Amino acid sequence: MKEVKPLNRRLEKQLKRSGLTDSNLPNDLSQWQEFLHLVDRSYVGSSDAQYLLERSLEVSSQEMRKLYDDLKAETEQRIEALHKSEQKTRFMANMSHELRTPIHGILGSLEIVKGTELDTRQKLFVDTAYASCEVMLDVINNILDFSKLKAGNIELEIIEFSPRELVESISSIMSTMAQEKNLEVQSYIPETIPARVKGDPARLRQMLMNLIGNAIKFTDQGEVYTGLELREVKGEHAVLRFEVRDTGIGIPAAMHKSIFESFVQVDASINRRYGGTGLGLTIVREFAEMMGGRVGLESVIGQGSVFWFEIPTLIVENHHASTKIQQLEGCRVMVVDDNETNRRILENYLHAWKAEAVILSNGPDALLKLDEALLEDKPFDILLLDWFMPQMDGIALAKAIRSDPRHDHTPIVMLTSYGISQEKQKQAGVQSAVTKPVRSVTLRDVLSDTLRRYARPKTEPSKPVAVKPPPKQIQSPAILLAEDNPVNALIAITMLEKVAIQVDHVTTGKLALKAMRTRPYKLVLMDINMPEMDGYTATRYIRKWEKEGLLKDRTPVIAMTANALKGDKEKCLTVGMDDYLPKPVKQDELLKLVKRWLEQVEAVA
Amino acid sequence: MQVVLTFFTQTTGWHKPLPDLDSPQTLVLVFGEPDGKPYQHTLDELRRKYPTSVIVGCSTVAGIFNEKVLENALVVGVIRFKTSRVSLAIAELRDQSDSQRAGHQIAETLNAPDLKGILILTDGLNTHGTELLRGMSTYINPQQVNVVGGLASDAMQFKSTWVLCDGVPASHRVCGIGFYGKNMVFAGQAKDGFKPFGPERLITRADDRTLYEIDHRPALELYKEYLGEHANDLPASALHYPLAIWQDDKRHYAVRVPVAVNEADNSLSFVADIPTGYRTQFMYGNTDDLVDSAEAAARNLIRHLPPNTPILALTISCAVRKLTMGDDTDQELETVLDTLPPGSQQFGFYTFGELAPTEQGGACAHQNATMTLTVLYEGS
Repeated sequence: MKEVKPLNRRLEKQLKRSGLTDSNLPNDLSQWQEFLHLVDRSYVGSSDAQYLLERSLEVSSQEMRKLYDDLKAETEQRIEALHKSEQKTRFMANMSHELRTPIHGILGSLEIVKGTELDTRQKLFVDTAYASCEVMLDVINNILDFSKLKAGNIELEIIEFSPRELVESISSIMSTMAQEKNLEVQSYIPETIPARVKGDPARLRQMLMNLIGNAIKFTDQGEVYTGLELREVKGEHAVLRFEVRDTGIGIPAAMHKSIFESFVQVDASINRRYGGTGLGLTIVREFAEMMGGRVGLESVIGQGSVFWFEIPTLIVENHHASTKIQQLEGCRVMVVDDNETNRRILENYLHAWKAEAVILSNGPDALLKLDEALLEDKPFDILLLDWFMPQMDGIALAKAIRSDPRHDHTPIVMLTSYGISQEKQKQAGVQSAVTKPVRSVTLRDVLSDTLRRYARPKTEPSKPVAVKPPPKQIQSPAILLAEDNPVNALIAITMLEKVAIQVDHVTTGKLALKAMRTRPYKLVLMDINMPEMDGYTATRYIRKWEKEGLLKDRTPVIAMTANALKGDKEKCLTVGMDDYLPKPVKQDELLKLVKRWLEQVEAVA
Repeated sequence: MQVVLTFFTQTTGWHKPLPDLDSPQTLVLVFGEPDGKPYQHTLDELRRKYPTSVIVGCSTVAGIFNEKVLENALVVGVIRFKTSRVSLAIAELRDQSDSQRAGHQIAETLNAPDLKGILILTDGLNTHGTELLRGMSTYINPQQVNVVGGLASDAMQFKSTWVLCDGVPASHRVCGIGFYGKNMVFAGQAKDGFKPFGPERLITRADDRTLYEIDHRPALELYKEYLGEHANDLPASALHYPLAIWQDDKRHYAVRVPVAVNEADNSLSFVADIPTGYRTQFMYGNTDDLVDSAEAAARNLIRHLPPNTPILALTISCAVRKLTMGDDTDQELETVLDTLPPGSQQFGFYTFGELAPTEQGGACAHQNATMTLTVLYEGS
C-alpha cells in the first residue's frame, strides 16, 4: 500500500465536510455522494479555470502578435522615412557642395583682385561682387543648415573670436548691399565688449547676416542699425546682445510669434515683393537656442522692427591693447552729423577714447561753434563731418570752414557712405575719409593718423611711423597641391605664392602619389573629390608607404574640401590626414594653417 | 450586548420566541421575502413587541440565519446594546439621480462626534450606490466612521424591493442606522474571491450601467473572445465572469457582474455604475474560490478582536454568489461560522449590491459579487 502523504488542503476540507477521514470508508452512502460532489465541483472549477486561462493566453498572445506586427510596420515606415530624409540631407549636402565650389572660385578670385591696385569705381564693384557672393553663400548655408537642423545633426563649433570684428565685418558687407537703396547703415559696439570670447562666430555671423539681410530687404528708407551690447557679466561669463534695428515696414503683432517658424512670412504678397526663403529667422532662433540663448522682436507696423538675440559666452580676453587711445585723449573733436543714431555712436566712441566731443546736427551750427571756440581760445583739434546732410552737406561745410584761414590748421575727416575721391577731398580741403558703417578701430586709427599728420604745429612733431618688418618668410619648402578644379588650384597657388612658397600642382590622387615619390614635400594640400583617385585613397597610400619605408619622412596632409557635412572632418582624420580646411578657402586661414604645419615639420626636424 | 436571532415562516411560526429586549438601545433587524404583504401581521407584532426600539430591514432573495439560507422566511435579529446607542435616519429616493442628495441627508442626520459606524439598507432598484456614498462623504471620514450596507433584492426578477419604514415595507427609501459609543465596534469588509485573467484594459466608452467599449473595442465582442466556449451560455454564464474595475489603485477595485448582454450594440449591462476612464480586467471564479473568500473575510474580521470571544456577524452577500453556488451556497455561511470563534452567530441577507470597503480602513464602495462581513461588537 502506498504511503498517504499529507493530503491536499482542499481534499482534506472536502473529506471533513463530508464527515469522512482519509483512513476510513464511509458508513453512509450520502456522505460518499457529498464527497464526490465536492471533488467533482473542484475538478469542474479547475478545468474551467484552466480552459479560461489557456484561452486568455491564446487571445492575449494573438493580440500581442498583432500589436507587434503593427509596431513593426510603423517602425519600418519610420525608418524608411528617416532614410528618405537622410537621402534628402545628402542631396542638400551635395547640392551645397556643387554651389559652394563655384562661389569659392568667385570669392577667392575677388579676394585676390581686392589685393591689387584698383580705382574707386573698380573697388566699389569688386566689393559689391564680394558682398553679393557672401550673401549667396549665406542663403546656401541657411538651406543646408535648415536641412541639418531638421535631421538633428548640427553641432556648434566653439572657438575664440572677437565679437567686435565679427559685427564690424558683417556690417561693412551689408553696407555695400544697402547702397542701392540709399539706406544709412549704422553699427555701434561699446568699448566694454570683451576683446575675445568663446563661441561659434560662423553661426553668429550667419544669424546676423540673416537679420541684417531681412532688415535691408524690408526697409525702403531710413536706416539699418546693428548693435552689440554687454547685457551681463558674471566672472568670465558674459551675455552678449546682438540687435538689428530697421525703419522698415514692420511686422503685425499677431505674427510676432510665428515669424520664427519655418517658411513663414508675414503674407504671401511679401514673398512676391521681397522674395526670400523664409528660413532665416528659424535658423536664427534654432541657433540661438542651441547656444543657450534666446531671440526676440519688437515691431510697430510702418515704423520698423528690432530683432535681437542674446547669447551667453565665455570671456577669454577683456581689453584691447589700446595704445592709440592716448593720442586722442583730451582732444577736442567736433562731430557734425544729421543722423541721431550716428551722432550717438560717434559720441560714445569719442567718449570711450577720452576725447572731448562736441556734437552738432547741422552745418550752420557747426560754423557758429567754431567761431565760439576760437573766441574762448579752445580751438578744436579735429573735425568729423558727415557728407550727406540736408541743406548744407559735408563738402559745402568743409569748403565754408576752409574759407576762413583761422581754421586752416584744423584737419577735417569726412564720413561717407560710398567713398570719396582723392580729388574731391583735395578740392574741399578734407584730409581723410572714413566709410560708413564706421568701425571703431578704423575710426580711431584714422583720427589718430590724421592728427599725427595734419595736427596744428603746436603739437609735437610726429614720430616716423614704425614700419612693421615683413612677416618672416617660410624657407621655401615645397608644397604639393592636389586639386582637380583649375580655378580652385589657381586661387590656392596665388594665395600661397604671395608668401613665396613653392607649390607643385597635380590634378589627381594618382599624380599626387607619383609626385610624392619623385621629391619630398613638407606638406600636402589634398582635395577630396578628384578623378581617378580621390583624396582619401591617396592619403591612405601615402600613410601606407611611409609605414613601409617607401617614403622617408611623414608628410602632413591637409584636406581641402567643400563637403560641409558633419563627419567629413572625422573621416579625413580617420584616413590619416592631419587637418582640414573647409572651402571656400580664405587666404589668411590657408596661410595660417600652412605656416603652422610647416613650423611643426621644422620643429620635428 | 444581548443578541437573539430567530426567524418566522408562515408554516412553522417563530423559530424562537421573540425576547423581551425592548429599549431605546435595541436594534431589530428584519430581512424578509420580497412580497411583504403576507408578513404584515408579523411586522405589526414586532412593532408592538419593540415599541421603543429601532426596527429596520429590507427585502431579500434569501435571508441568512447562521449557516442557513432561508428563502421563505423573515429573519429577525434583536440586539440590545449595553452602553452604545443606535439611531435611525430615512431618506426618500425618488430615482437614481436622487441618490447623492439622499446620502447627504442620511449622513447629516446621523453625524455626531461619537458616531462609529453606519449601516445602510436601501432600495435595490433605485439606488445609485456610488452617488449615495459620494453624498455621504461630505460628513463621513472613512478613517473614523465605517460605512457598510446592502441593496435590497427580490427573487431575481428586478421588479420590486422594499425597505422597512416605520414598520411598513416601502420602496424608494434608504435607511441609515448610526452606531454610537466609545465601546462600539462596527467594522466590515468585502471579499469577492474572483480571480483576474487577461490583460488590464481601459474602459473607453460606458454610460452609467452599460459598457460599450474596452480599449476602443466593442465590449461584448472582446468579452466573448476571452470566454471562448463559455460565451455560448451567455447571459447566464456571465455571472461566473465578472469584471474588476478601478480608478487609480488596483487594490481598491470593485466587482461588476454583467446581468445582460446586448447583441445589437455589442454592450454589457450591469446593476451598478461602470465609469468611462476606469481600468478593468475580466475575472473568473468557481464555488471553491467563493467559499475560500468567505473564509478570508471571516479571518480578516476577527484579526482585530480579542481572541476566542464569540461575536455577532452581519453577513451581506451578493445574490450573484447565491446564483453561482446554487445548492452549495450554505457552504460559504458554514465556512464563516467555522472560522469565527466558537459560539459566534451570523445573520444577514443576499443583496443586489454591497456597500463596503475592500481594504481595512479603505473608503466604502459600491460592490457586486462580494461577501461583506460586518462585526457588531460592544467592548467593555
